[in-house]
Order: sequence, then C-alpha cells, then structure tokens
Amino acid sequence: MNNLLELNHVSKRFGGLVALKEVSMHIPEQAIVGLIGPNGAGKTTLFNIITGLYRPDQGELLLRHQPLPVGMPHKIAQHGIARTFQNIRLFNNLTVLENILVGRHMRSQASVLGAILNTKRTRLEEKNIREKALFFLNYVGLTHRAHDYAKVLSYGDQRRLEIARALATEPQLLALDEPAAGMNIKERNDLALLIQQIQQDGTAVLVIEHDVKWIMSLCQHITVLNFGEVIAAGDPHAVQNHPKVIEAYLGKGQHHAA
Amino acid sequence: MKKNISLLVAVLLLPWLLYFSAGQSWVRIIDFSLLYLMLSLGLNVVVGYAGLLDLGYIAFFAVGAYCYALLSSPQFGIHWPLLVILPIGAVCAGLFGVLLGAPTLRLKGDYLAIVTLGFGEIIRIFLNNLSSPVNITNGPQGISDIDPLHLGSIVFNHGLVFGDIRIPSVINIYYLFLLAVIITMIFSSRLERSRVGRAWMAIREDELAASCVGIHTKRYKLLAFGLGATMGGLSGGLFAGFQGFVSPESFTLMESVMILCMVVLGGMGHIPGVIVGSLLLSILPEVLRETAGWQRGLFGQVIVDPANLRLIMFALALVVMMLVRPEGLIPSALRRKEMQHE
Repeated sequence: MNNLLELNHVSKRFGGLVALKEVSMHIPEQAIVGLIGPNGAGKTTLFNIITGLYRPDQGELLLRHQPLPVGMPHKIAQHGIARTFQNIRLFNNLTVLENILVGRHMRSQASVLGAILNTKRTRLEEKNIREKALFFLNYVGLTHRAHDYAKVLSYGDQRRLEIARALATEPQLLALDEPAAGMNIKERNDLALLIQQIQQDGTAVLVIEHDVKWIMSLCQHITVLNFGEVIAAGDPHAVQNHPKVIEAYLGKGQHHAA
Repeated sequence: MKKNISLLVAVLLLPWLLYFSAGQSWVRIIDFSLLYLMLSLGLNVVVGYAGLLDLGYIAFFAVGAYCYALLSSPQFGIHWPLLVILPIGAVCAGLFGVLLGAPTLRLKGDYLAIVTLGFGEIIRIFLNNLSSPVNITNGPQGISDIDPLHLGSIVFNHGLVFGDIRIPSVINIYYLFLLAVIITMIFSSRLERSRVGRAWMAIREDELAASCVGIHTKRYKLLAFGLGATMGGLSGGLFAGFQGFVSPESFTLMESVMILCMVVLGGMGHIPGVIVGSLLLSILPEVLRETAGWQRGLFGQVIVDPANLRLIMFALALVVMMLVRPEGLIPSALRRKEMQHE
C-alpha cells in the first residue's frame, strides 16, 4: 500500500530534554494507525510536529512524497491534515453549527469585499458552506444540537463536534489526540464505529490512545514510542508481544506476568 | 419590515424633534454621538469580533482627522473635495492599523493592550511635535480653518434652504453622519455573518484551534486591525470637517478608554449592543453637565465638578455592569445564554 505520510528521522529537543530521537514512521493511505506509549513518551510532541505546532530540529516529513511545510499549522491544514486536541479545543462561545462552519473556512474563498458587497457568488458559497456543515453535523450525529452552544455539550458530544470540525476541512489524514480519554464504554464503542466509518469514507486516521485493548481492536498498524524513540511498529498482534513493548509497559523482569 | 420602517422614520425625525424641543446644542451632541458610534463599530471589529484588546484605537481617529485637516485647509494650501479626502483618510488610517498591528501579532490580552496603548500615545505625541524642523501638523496649536464638509455647492456646515424650508446646519450634519453610520453598520453586520467574521470569532475563541482548521491567523488579525482602523479614520475625517479644527488634545488615552467602554457596556461583538453603549456613554456626560446648575440651586455652589462626576459615574457603571450584567446591556442572544450558564 502507498504511504500517505512518511516521517524520516525526526528529532526534537526542548533545551536539554530529547523529546523525540530519530523517529521514523509511516501512515499508509486510508489506514487507521495507532500511536501508543507510556506517559511522556513523546506522542503529543510527534503529533504537534506533524500538525505544524512545533518545528522539528531534524528530519523530514513527506506527504505523498512531497515535503510538508513545517511549523505552520494553517499550511498543514491546507495540505490536508486535520487534528483534534487532547484537551478539547472548541470555539466555546459559538454554536455547534458555527464551529463546523469555521471548519469550512479553507474550502471557501469569500473575501472582505465579497462579504461587504454580498455578491451573488458569496451568497451561493455561503449556502454551500451551510449545506456541507449540516452534512458533517449529521455525520457525527449532532444535528439536534446544531444551535446549542459548543460549551454546553456533554464531554462525549464535544469530542464528536471537534472531530466534525476537523472533518469539515475534508482532510486526507485525521489526527486524533487521545479521543477516547474520559469516555465510558458505550461512548468508546460509538467512537470506534465513527473512526471506522471515517476510514471507509477514504480518510486515513492517526490515533493516540492509552487504552491498549481499545486501540488494538481498532488499528491495522501501531507504532510504539518510549522515551522519544520508536521501540516497535507493525500490526497489533506483533506489537503486543514485542518484548520491548512489554518491558516499557510492565517493566523489566516481569515477562512472566505479561 | 414594518418595524424597520417606523424605526427609520423615527431616526429621520429625531433631530427635528430635538431641535424644536431642546435646541440646537442637543442636535450637535447627537451629531457627535454618531461619530462615537462609528468609532465603536470600528473598535467592535477589533475587540468584539477578533478579540484583540486595543487601547490605542483613538490614534486611527486622529490619523483620519489629520488627513482631512492637512488636505483641505490653509496649512498646505490644499483644498481637495470631500469625496477624495475622506477615502484617503480612511485608507491611511487602515494602513496605520496594519502597520501598528503587525508588531503585536504575537501578543495577547494584557500585553497587547499595553503595546497598543503605547502606539496610541506615540501617534498623539508625534502629532504634537511634528511642527519642527518642518511644520506639518502645527504642533499643539493644531490646524484650524479646515474646509467645511461640502459636496460641490452643498455645504453641510451651513444651513440649507429649499424654497420655504430651511434645514439648520446641525441637522444637515446629522443626516450626513447618519448615512455614514448606516454604511458602516451594513459593512460590519455583513462581515460579522461572513466567512471573514467567523474566522475572526474563531481566533477570538481559540487562536491555535483556528489555525489548525486552516485559518491564516496573522492575516486575519491584521485584517481586523486594518478594517477597524479604516472605520475610525472615516469617522476622524468627518470629525475634522465638522469641527473645522483639530489638535492633538482631542486624541488622548481617555478617549480610547471611553470608546472601549462603549463597546463593552453595550455588549461586545453585537451591533445593537454597541449602538446602545455608544449613544448612552456619549450623551450621558452632556446630561451630567446640567447637574452643575442643579447643584448650584441645591447647595448654592458646585460641589462635584461635572467632568469629574462623569468619570465617577463611568467607573461606577462599569463596576456594577461587571457584577450584574457582564454580558453587556444588549448582548447577542447566545452570549446571554452563555453568561447565565456560568
């Protein structure tokens, strides 16, 4: 299978702390890839590099063999990588629908002049933006909350709204930072179904997660980070039985307990 | 629709009613409050929509006013027509907005406020000192004998006579300013509901999340600074033509604070709120001025100077507002809901 995103020898240092050391990984087209590792392993740092929040000190990122601009979140989004955040970041004082309308920003063009003169083109575009936004609202099952304020949604619904906002940019890769954190079992299962649906509709998904069981059943491919290094990568079964992974999660000399 | 028409008729009749009941000076006060309203609408773009706390906004009003003053007064002997200098003033102010906005793009909240406050003061001090070695602004004396607001042979600053009807100058000005206010209002309400307005609000809510959905946050912040300043510049031009005189004294920090109060008091980011806030705060001081007479009648002397009373009342009003109604007098329906949830 072709690779959508490739990371080659990416390193990141914060002062004396080496957060990522020569990390290489790849995300195949239309796959669900899991990124796991103990706390402080560098998962979120890697995420922030992929989505342009940090600049890597070394290494390259290739999207379909083309170098990806680094350190510019809006450019990365325009290249087709959308993300959610570990601690949900919605536009709290906007409605659910408005949140998704904002997500359509880069799929529309209206300028200040167009808006002020309210040209026919602007009006048509605005109609289109609304239709698309309603589609994505329906996609995550939040149509009935369209005119509620993003802030008053339940935790699970906020997660879904954040995913819908990211999907509204029509990305090639959707990056989810601990999407299932704090969810109950039913919400987790619903989320897994949603992620599988997204994959089937043609978008690759990169997921960070702590719940090993949940992510093993969801992903086709898993990369494990520990202390900023990739210690294992491959299909869930192989990763699960990799001695280094067991060591990272359970400690040395505990093999018999695993 | 019916409601809108009756509102329009009321707004059109208002100056006549005031003129015959309260006198010319009150119509003049309303004229000034329309200029304040334009300023508040402009600042609302920056603070209300994009969430950029700007404490030096009056500088753009100054730029617009000085542009008008320099291009239609004996200062340089230039007398260009209104329809040329008003846009020049607005564009100049807009450019200054972008120019002063650019270095502040990385700043947020209080830090941004401090820097913009500094920029506002810098502009005023420049105007105060650009009289030597080359005399541009005439220093603290200001520029006088500015041409009145006129279109061809129609001079708004003079009374107009149509047959038997004589329209007093203050009412002419009122209609001219009203037109400018309505245009500004249409522009900003259309922006508010557009892709551009949504991008601003996204930045206000969460800049990082906004950039992650593909919004070029720096560009949109500059756009907000620029457009807000443009509205301020337009208002400044009208101010210069109306007054016939500008000096740096009119553009102090207190004025910036005042306009910010108007936006906050009425309800940030919501045009009806901004209208109420700015009308209230620009007319209130004039009402307070009357208290000098009452004080003299009651106590035989003026105990509290009305100018100080004004500041006391403002401070009190803001404190009470923040405690009782933090969402503003007329917030958008949504904002009200939010504040009540907390």
